[in-house]
Amino acid sequence: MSSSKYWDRWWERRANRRRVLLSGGTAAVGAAGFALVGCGGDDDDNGNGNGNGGSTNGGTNTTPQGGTDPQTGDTPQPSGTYTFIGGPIGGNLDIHRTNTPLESAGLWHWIGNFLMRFNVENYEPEPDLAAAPPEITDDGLTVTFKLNPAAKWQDRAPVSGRNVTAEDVKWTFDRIRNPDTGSPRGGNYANVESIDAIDEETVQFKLKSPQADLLRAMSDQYDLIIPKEIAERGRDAIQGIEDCIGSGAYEVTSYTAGQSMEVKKRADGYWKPNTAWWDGARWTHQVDNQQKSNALKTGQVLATDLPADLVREYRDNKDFQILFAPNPTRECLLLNHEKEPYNDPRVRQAIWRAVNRELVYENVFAGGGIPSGPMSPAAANWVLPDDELGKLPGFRSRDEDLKEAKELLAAAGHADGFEDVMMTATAFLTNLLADQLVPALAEVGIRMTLENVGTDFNVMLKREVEGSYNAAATLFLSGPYPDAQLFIYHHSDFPATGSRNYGRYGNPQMDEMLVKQRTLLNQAEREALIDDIQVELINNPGPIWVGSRIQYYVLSSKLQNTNPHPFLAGYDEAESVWLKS
Amino acid sequence: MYQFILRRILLAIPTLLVVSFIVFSMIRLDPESVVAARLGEGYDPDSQAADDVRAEYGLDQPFYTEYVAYLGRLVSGDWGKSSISFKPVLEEMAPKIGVTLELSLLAVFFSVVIGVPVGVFSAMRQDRWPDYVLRSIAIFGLSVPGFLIATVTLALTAYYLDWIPPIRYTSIRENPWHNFQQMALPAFILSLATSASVMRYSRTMMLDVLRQDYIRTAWAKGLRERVVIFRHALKNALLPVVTVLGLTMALLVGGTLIFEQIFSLPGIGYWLVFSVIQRDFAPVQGVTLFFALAVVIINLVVDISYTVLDPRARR
Repeated sequence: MSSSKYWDRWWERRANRRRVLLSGGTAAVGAAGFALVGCGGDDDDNGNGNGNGGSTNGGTNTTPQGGTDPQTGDTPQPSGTYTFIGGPIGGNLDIHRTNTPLESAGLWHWIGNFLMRFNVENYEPEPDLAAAPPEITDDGLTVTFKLNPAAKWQDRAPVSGRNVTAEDVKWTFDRIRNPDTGSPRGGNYANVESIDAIDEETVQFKLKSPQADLLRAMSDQYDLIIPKEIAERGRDAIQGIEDCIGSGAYEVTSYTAGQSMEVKKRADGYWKPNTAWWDGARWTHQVDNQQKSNALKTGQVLATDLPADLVREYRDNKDFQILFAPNPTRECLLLNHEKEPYNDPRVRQAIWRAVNRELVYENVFAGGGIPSGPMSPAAANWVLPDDELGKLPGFRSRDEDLKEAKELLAAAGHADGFEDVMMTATAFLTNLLADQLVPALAEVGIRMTLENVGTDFNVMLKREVEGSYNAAATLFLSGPYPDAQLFIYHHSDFPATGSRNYGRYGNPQMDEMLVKQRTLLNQAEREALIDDIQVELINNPGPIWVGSRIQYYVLSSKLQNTNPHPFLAGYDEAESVWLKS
Repeated sequence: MYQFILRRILLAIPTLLVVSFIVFSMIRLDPESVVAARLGEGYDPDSQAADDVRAEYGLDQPFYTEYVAYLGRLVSGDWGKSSISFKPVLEEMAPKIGVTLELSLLAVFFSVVIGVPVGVFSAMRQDRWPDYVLRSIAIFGLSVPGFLIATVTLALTAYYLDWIPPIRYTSIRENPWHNFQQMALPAFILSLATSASVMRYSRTMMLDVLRQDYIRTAWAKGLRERVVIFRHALKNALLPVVTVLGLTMALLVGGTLIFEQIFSLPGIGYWLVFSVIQRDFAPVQGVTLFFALAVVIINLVVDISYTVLDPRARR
């Protein structure tokens, strides 16, 4: 693990976290991935020196230039079809309205471009359609982008290969922020006063107040730029593949919801030189992990995502490489603060301590879980340092946490605990999460009965939105930056646009800090405040954050220049990864 | 004969009406979930977009009015539109029916090819070790769930043979051999339980027939075993098996739901599960109705074929 690559460093830090937790009498499970991949790394023989888990061999900043892979010295060969099995494939094709990853990372990231996108190495925004980082005025209220003049749409009606213009950018973001569109990310741009196309290649955002995470929000996996001609059709603008027109290296050729989707390299050539090596790509829908593994083993696909227990089968297999990264999804025990006894902060503090996170990482994620506070470790630039987290409630020794939890419950008038109902669903492993939470809470006398609403997660989500629940074992997925992980879950402005504060957490001091951090353009100052916010949310919790899962990918070792990323950078496979025959 | 067929068709109509009523009522149980599925949780219930969705599904109309209109649309071929693909349900369903039908027919074929000979052979060797072995295998086939056999089989073939059926679907018209590779294993496993049923039923009926006087006469005439079995016993023994096959076909339609998932076959069972998960209501309604229609038609065909084979059944 001597590589200087980002995720290697990240995993070294995880290892440190593991020691901290072990010293507190608990086992850190996030390190399971570290151990797993550490073994695999020794077996790498694919020429890139770090083909197994967590290692990177280039990225979007190190895209092979002049036809040479910087890691291996090999010459990328433009050939082959990238094949992936996973799922679900089947959400709305409208990238601005969907919340499902494969239609975005799996399809749109191949056919489209962002204005700014996440760099897969440092998780900070980098120019994509923008020619350079934007100019931001000193007051932070005006953000001006210059577009790359080479950027062209695919040669399909109604754009027929014309240049990408400022009007396209304006119409795209106006569509996203229009409440009638129903974009889940509309709230990210509530602070935008106006968007103006100054000329063909210049677009200007006027803000009501400075917004530190504006570029990160733009880089979130769904906000790709679409042609004005499509965007101006309104809410139902994107219905079929004929409406999926991008400026990316590939164009979509087929999409069957629940079955498959395919792209092929655009015939008119991609405007970014020396990138995009594939002839095309194909995704096959399959949600059963064993079947995905079968397809990979038998060579029918080049890549898939698998849970930790199945990944272990590949760790000594030289035909495969394992990539892993923390997922921005956060598992959570949601408490309704409008209901007794969760309106008492001491009860929430007790529950925060009583939850046995270690059991969740081991039993729900088969050892592939990561300790985290209110932010997922996927937001690696923002999470609390390991040593600090290890001193906080919920991450110390189990005995110490349980003792305090009982004292807090007693102080709240529940010395003998209480009975309640915990909602869950047989979806996204939340039922398994609930199975681990119930016995952990029973240790402090909280006797939970499970109410499983079935296999449709939306039923649970609907009740969360309505507030018709007391406690819920659930999960949330949002981008790896503070506004997406902190603001919308903890600010009391629910149900304002974009808010997911389904627990109705209300803390004036927290509101003040959350609003302030949004406007801080000084990175160091903001990081310090984000740390304070996380500490406060652990000491005075709203939702009971349990941790995150590690996302594992197993790929053929023939794939070169691969980068581990949790979900939000399908463009990396599209532009940088290539097939060594 | 024609009167009998007409009578059976008329009897099927109330069944279909009841199914259509249940299917129609499904989305009326929680109409706002239809709107939420289209607009996303947290939508504004007073927005124009919400009103548009309600109007699209007729949720703004009285129940009985809309039900009559719904029946009218069904008859005229308008089974609604998918909210994901924006395509008419019947247009999306048509190619998927072929996949499910092929899988079901192939499974029936395997059921007959395996079940009948084994049942006959077992009857001929009644209470001897081949009979015990075959009956034990049949009980295994009946008692172990097909999805478990399928999952284990796939894992084993992947591990030991480095092979699983192709995951990319190819229609029989595009490439028959590729299509057969894809269909054979799921159809075979799907047929195991029904093969066992057919085997046990064939055996029982064969034993029954073998005890008849005319068979005893055939033996007494000194006919060879092959002639007694195939010329005299088999035809009468297999007549009731037709009924079993008909009922089996209806069960197979349900079984395809699971097998199409496991083997990534894009049939209507696969589509139904997918649409349920996606809360795409029109396809769910359409597929449910189609399954009901299929079962009614299969039973009708079985009844008619039975009366053709055995005229006594017409009475």
